[in-house]
Amino acid sequence: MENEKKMITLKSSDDVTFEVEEAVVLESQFLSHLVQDCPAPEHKIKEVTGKILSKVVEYCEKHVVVVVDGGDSSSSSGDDLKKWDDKFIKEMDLSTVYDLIAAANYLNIQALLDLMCQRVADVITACKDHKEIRETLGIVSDYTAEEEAEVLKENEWAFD
Amino acid sequence: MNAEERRDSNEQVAENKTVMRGPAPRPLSGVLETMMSAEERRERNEQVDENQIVKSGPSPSPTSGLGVDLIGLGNMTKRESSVLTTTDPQSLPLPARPLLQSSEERREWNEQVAENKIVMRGPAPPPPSGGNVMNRLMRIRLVKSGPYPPPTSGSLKGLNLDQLREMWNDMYMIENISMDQKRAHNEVISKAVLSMVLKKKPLLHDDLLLPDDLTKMILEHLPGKTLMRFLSVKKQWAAMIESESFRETYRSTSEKKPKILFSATIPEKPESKLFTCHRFLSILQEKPNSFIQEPSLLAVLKRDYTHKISQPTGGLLCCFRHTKSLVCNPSIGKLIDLPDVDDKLVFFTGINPVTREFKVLAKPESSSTACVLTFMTDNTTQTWRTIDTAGLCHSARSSGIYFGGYLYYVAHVSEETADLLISFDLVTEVFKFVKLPDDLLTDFDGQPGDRLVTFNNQLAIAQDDGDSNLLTLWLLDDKCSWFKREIIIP
Repeated sequence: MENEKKMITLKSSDDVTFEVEEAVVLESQFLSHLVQDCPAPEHKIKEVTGKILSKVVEYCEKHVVVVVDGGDSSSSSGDDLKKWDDKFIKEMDLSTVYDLIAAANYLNIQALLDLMCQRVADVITACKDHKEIRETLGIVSDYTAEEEAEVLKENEWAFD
Repeated sequence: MNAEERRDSNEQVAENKTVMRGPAPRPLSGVLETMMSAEERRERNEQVDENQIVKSGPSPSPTSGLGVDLIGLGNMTKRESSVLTTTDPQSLPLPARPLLQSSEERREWNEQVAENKIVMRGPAPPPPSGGNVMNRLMRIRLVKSGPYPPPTSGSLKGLNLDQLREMWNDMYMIENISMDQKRAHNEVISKAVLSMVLKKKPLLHDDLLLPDDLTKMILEHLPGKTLMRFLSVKKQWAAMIESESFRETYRSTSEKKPKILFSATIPEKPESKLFTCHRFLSILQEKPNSFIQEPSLLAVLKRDYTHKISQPTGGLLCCFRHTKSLVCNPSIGKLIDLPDVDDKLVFFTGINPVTREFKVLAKPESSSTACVLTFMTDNTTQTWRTIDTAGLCHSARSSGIYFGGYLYYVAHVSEETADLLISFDLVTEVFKFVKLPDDLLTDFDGQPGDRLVTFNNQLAIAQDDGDSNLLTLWLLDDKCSWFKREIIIP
C-alpha cells in the first residue's frame, strides 16, 4: 500500500505558498486540470490573493478529508461538515465572501461557490426591506422616486 | 455607443487607469478575464464604458502601488494606452471600498453618492474650459524647464479631487522626468486623494464588483419573496430577475429542492364566511422540521370566495370555482384571471416539456371534450380551445398530477365500467387511458386528498388501508403495467 501522498504547492498572486495534498487540489476542477496538464511541483494562481487562497485551501482540506472518511456513510460526518461550513462562513465579512465567490468561480469549486452564494443570499434574505438591502450591499438605487413607489406598490405583500 | 464614443470612453478609462486600479489586483478581474468568451468580454467592455461613471472612483485603499502603475503608462502616448485598454479592459479592477462601521455612516455615504458628490464621480472629462487647459499646459511647461520636486502635502491642500486627478493625468504627458520622480510625485498625490476619499466614508464594496453571472448565482439562492423585494432595490437587478433566462435557471434550481406547498384557508372577516383568503406556505422537504420554526409564507391570495386549487406545476397554480379560474404564482404573489368557461369544470395544470409553455386543461363533466389554454406570461389574450378527448366520455374524479410531460387524473366513465387513469400528452394534446390495477381498493369518490403521487420517478397510486400502518403503492412502469409495493409506516 502506498502511503506516500503527492504534495503540490500553490502560490497566490502575492507569493504566499501553500503546500497541499494532491487530493485537496482535485476539489477544484480548474486545478485538477492544471495539475494533470502540467505536472510542475508549483502552480502560481495569479488571480487569487494569499488571504483568499488560504480560505480556499482550508475549505478544500476540510472537505476532502470528510469525503474520504464518509466511505462508510456515517451521517454524523455530514452534519459535522455542515457545522464546520456554518462556522466557516460566519467568521467572514462580506468582502471576503465576494472574493471567495470569485475565487471559487475561477477555480471551479462548485460546493464552495454554492456555499458562498447561499451566504450572501442569507444576508440578503435577512434584510427586511429594499433600503436595508441597499445599505448592506452598498447598492445605489437607479430608480426615480415615482418608479420606486410603483414597484413597491406592486410587490407590497413581499414586505410583510 | 458608436466607435468614436467608445474610444473616447476608453481613453478616459486609460487616463484614469491609476485611479481605478485597486491596490492588489483583485482576483475577480482575473476570473472575468479567463471565464469570459471574447463576445462576453466585448459586452462587458461596453458595460464598463456605460457604468464607468459609477464604478471608477479613486481607490480608497492605502497603496503605494498606484505610482508604479502610472509610470507604466507614463511613457506611452495616449493612443497606445487607449489601445491597451481596448484589448484588455478587464485588467482594470474596480475599486474596493473600505469598511463602513455603522449603518449611519453607510447611509451618509449613500446620500453623498445620491447627490453625485465627488467620490463616485468617474474620470474627469477632457479639460472643459480654456483656462483650465492653460493651467495644465503651464504646469507641464514648468516641469520641462527645470527639476520637478514632488509636491508637499501642504501644497496640495485646497485642491479638489478633480484637480488632483488632473495633476495625476498630466504625468502621462511629461516625458523628461525620471521614473523615480514620477513615482514620488504620484505617491504624494495618491496620498492626498486617499485622505480626501477616506474622509468621504466610502463603502465596503461596490455592488458592481461582482459580474452579472456571479450576481445571478447569488440571486438564484434567494427565496421568491426576497427576490420580489429585490425588484425595488435596483433596476439593473430587476431586469436581471425578470429575464427569461433567469426564470429558467431559477425554476430548475428550485426544482432540485423539493418543497411541500400547502394553503390554509382563513376567513378574512370573521362575520362573513364568503370572504376568505388562501395563505400559501411552503417548506423544504429536506428539512421538514423547518416548518415549525419558520414556514415561509408565500403570497396571500385574497378573493371573495373559496377556490379549489389544482396541483402546483412549475411553481404555478390554477385556482378555480364554478366557471371562473385564475392562475396564481404564490411565490411572487401574482394572479392572472383566465377567461370564463361555459360550464362548471375541473382544472388541471401542466407544462409542455418542449416549449416550456404552461397549459391549463379544463374538463367538463361527462363529456368527450375538454378545453385547453396555453398560458402566456406576457399579458397577451388568453383563449380557451376546445379539443376532443378521443371519443372517451368521462368525468374527472381525482385531482391531476403533472409528471414527465403528461398530465394524469383518474376518470369515471360510466356506472358499468371501472374507473380509468387518463393521461394527457401536453405536447400533442392527445388523451390516452390506462386501466387501473384490478385489486385497487381505493375509490376516488369524494376524496379531496391526492391519491396520485410520483414515487422514485414513477407515477404511482397511493392507497392507505385506514387503520393498519400499511401504505400500498401501485407503480406504473413504462409498459403501462402496475406493480404493487407495500411500505410499512413506522
